Amino acid sequence: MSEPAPHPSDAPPAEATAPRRAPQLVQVEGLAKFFPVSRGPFRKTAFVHAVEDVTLYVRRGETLGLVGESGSGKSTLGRVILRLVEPTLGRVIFDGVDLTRLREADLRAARRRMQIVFQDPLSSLNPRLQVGEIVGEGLEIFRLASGRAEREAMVAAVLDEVGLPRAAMARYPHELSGGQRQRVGIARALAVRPDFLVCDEPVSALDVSVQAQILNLLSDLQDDRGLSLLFISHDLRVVEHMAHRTAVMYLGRIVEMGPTPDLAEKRLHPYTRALFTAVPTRGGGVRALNVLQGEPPSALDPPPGCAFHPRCPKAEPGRCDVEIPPLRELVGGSHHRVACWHPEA
Amino acid sequence: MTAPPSDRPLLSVEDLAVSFDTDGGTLRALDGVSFDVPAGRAVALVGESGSGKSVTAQAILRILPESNARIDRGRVTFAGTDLLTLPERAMRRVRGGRIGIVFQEPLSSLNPVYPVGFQIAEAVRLHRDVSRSQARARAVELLRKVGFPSPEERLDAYPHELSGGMRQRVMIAIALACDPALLVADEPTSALDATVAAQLLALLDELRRERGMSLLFISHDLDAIGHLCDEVVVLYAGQVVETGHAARVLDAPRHPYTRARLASAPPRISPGRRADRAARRLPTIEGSPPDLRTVPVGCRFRARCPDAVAACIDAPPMVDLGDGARSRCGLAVAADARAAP
Ligand SMILES: Nc1ncnc2c1ncn2[C@@H]1O[C@H](COP(=O)(O)OP(=O)(O)OP(=O)(O)O)[C@@H](O)[C@H]1O
Ligand SMILES: Nc1ncnc2c1ncn2[C@@H]1O[C@H](COP(=O)(O)OP(=O)(O)OP(=O)(O)O)[C@@H](O)[C@H]1O
Ligand code: SF4
Ligand SMILES: [Mg+2]
Ligand SMILES: [Mg+2]
Repeated sequence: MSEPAPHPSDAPPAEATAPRRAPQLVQVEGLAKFFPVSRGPFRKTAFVHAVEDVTLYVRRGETLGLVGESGSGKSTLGRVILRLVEPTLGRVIFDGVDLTRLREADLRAARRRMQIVFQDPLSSLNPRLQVGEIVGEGLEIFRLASGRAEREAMVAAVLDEVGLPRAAMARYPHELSGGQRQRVGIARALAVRPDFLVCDEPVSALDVSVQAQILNLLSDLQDDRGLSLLFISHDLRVVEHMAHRTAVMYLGRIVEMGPTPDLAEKRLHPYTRALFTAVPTRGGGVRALNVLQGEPPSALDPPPGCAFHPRCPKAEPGRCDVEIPPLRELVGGSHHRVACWHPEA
Repeated sequence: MTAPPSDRPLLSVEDLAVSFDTDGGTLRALDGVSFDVPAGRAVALVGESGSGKSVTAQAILRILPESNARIDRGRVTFAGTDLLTLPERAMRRVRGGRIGIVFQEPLSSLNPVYPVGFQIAEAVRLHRDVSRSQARARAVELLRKVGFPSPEERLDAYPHELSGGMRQRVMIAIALACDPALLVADEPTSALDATVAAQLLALLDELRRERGMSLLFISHDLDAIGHLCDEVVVLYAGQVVETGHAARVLDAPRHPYTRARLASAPPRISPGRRADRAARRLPTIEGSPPDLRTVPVGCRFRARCPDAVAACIDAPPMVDLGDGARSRCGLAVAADARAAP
C-alpha cells in the first residue's frame, strides 16, 4: 500500500500558526487524583495514583495532544480538568475562574463551555434516549434553541457534520455500530458550541475515511471559532496531525511536553522513544514492534524515583531509582520539557 | 505442538443475511456474506463504519439482540458443525470455549458488578474442571500475558475502576481463557497504546503459530492487518466486495471502494500540524454509504464510485480474479489495467 502524503511537503511547518500568543484558556496547576481502593484479605485501603502533579495549559484555538501508556491517567486527567471527578490536589483555572473552588450551581454555567467526548461511546450514552434526544439534550438544558423545530434543525445539522443521516435521530444507541455511536458522542459535545473540548479517543472506532471527516471538522471549528482541544489518542499519527503541542504521560505524570514536531522528532524521554518506535509500518514484522521490555508498573505502588526506571535502558542506579526527575526545559525558550535524568540527545 | 495451517476452512460463512426491525422499517445489515477462515490462518474483516463487521461477528456467535434481529438466510459452519441450528445449550459451550470473542466495546460487555479477576476465573471454570484457586492463578497468568499491569494487585478491581485499555485487556484475557481454536476479535487494540498493542499483536501471532489458533480479526488498522493476517475480506454496506491475500488486497486493491479506502490513508508520521487549512485537509470518500433500509439497486458503491458507468445499475456478481482474489465489480479487471503504469 502506498500512502499518499495528505499535504504537500513545502507547506509551512506547524509553528507558523500555532496560537503562540493566544491567551491561555485552561490552566492546570499541580493537579493530582488518587482513587481509594481496598485490597488484600483485610480490605486495607490503598490508593491508585492515577494523576500526579500535572501542570499544563491550553491556549485559545490550540490543540494539546495527550498520549501515553494505557492506564497512565489520561482519561482521569481529562475528567478532573472538567471536574467530572474531584481532584485530590491542585487547581484548574478556566478562563480566569478557579473551577476547583466553584460550587456546583456556579459550575453549571461553565459546563456548556467545556465538553467531553468520552472514551467508551456506548456506556456514555443514555440507552433509553433516542439519538435526537441525546444530541438535543444540551440545547434544551442551556436553552440554546428557541423551540422544538429549531432544536431539531440544529441536531440534524450537527449529525450531518459528523456524517450521520437525519434518520439516525430516531435510533437508540444500541441500534448503532461502534463508529456510529462514537459520532453521536461527538455530535452531543459539539451541539452546545463549547469553547473547550476534551476528546478522549474520539476516533478510535472510526475507519480512516470517516476519521478524516471528523478530524477535518474539528480543525475547521478550531479555525472558525477558536475551539480549544485536549486531544487524547493512542494514534500518534492522528495526534501529530492535530496537535500544536503534545504531552506524554507515564504512570500519572507528564514525562515530556512540547511543540509536536519537536517532540516527535527529538523524542527526548526514553518512554516517548519506545512509544514512537512501536508504531507499526508496513513490512516490519510483528515482533520488531515489541520494543518495551519489562512489566508495566503498579499504579498502587509506583516505583520510587523515575517511574520508568525499572524498564529504562538508560536508568542510573542510585539516581533514577531515588530522585523524581523534574519536568524541565533543556533548551531555554524551546517550550520543550522533559522529566528525565538522562534524556536522549 | 505445531499445527500447520491448512486450507480446510475451520469456519465457513455462506450467504449470510441479517436484518433488524427498526422504527423506520427493516434494516438489511448483511446481505449474502460469504467467506472462510482456514484452520490456523488469520483473516481480517475490514470496512467502513456501519458496513456490518460487528453484526457478522455477532451472527457467527449467535449473540444478535433477540428483540429485533433476524437471520434471514445463510449458514455458519464451524469445525463441521452448523452453528445456526445448534441447540442453545451446545452453543453456549462453543461460545467462550472453542470460539473466543473480544467485543468492540469492553465496558459494556463486562459485568459491572463483579471484580474482573472473578470474571476471568469464571470464564475458565465454565469450560474447565479446575478449582477456584487454580482458576484465579490462570486469571493472573492470562492478564500478565496481555500486558496488564500488576495483575495480582488489580484482580479485585471492578470494570469501572480500570482504564479503557485495561478493560480491553481483561476482555482479551477472557477470550483466551480456554485456548480457543478460533478467536473472533472486534477491534481488539483500539484502546491500547502502541507499545501494548504491539505486544498484543505479537501474542496473537504466537498463539496462531504455536497453537494453530485461527483468527477473525476485525480492525481499521491496516498496518496491524498487514503484520498479522493472511487474508482480507472487505465489506461494504452489508456485502463482501473484495477478498484475497492480505498483501495483494493492501498493495493492489481491485474494488473501487477498497481503492478509495486505501487512498484515504491516515495522516503520516511527522511533519506536524499544518498551518495552511487546505494543506491540512485529510482526504475522505465523498458521499455516504446507502441507507440499509432502502438499499439502492445495482452496485451499492455506485453513488460514490469514481469509475461508475451505466452498467453498474445491474447488481454486479463476485468476479473471480484468480489467485484467490475476488471482487464485486465488473470493472475491477479493467480499472486495474488502467491504473497500472
Ligand atoms: N474510579 C476509579 N477507581 C479506581 N481506580 C481508577 C478509577 N478510574 C481510573 N482508575 C485508575 O486510574 C489509572 C488511570 O486510568 P485512566 O483511565 O485515567 O487511564 P488512561 O490513560 O485513560 O488509559 P487508557 O489509555 O487505557 O484509556 C488506572 O490505573 C485506573 O485503573
Ligand atoms: N441492534 C441493532 N438494531 C438496528 N440496527 C443495527 C443494530 N445493530 C447494528 N445495526 C446496524 O447494522 C449496520 C451494521 O452494523 P455493525 O455494527 O455491524 O457495523 P460495523 O461494520 O461493525 O461498524 P463500526 O466500524 O462502526 O463498528 C449499521 O448500519 C448499524 O446501524
Ligand atoms: S530518569 Fe533515568 S530511569 Fe527515568 S527515563 Fe530518564 S534515564 Fe530512564
Ligand atoms: Mg482512557
Ligand atoms: Mg463494529
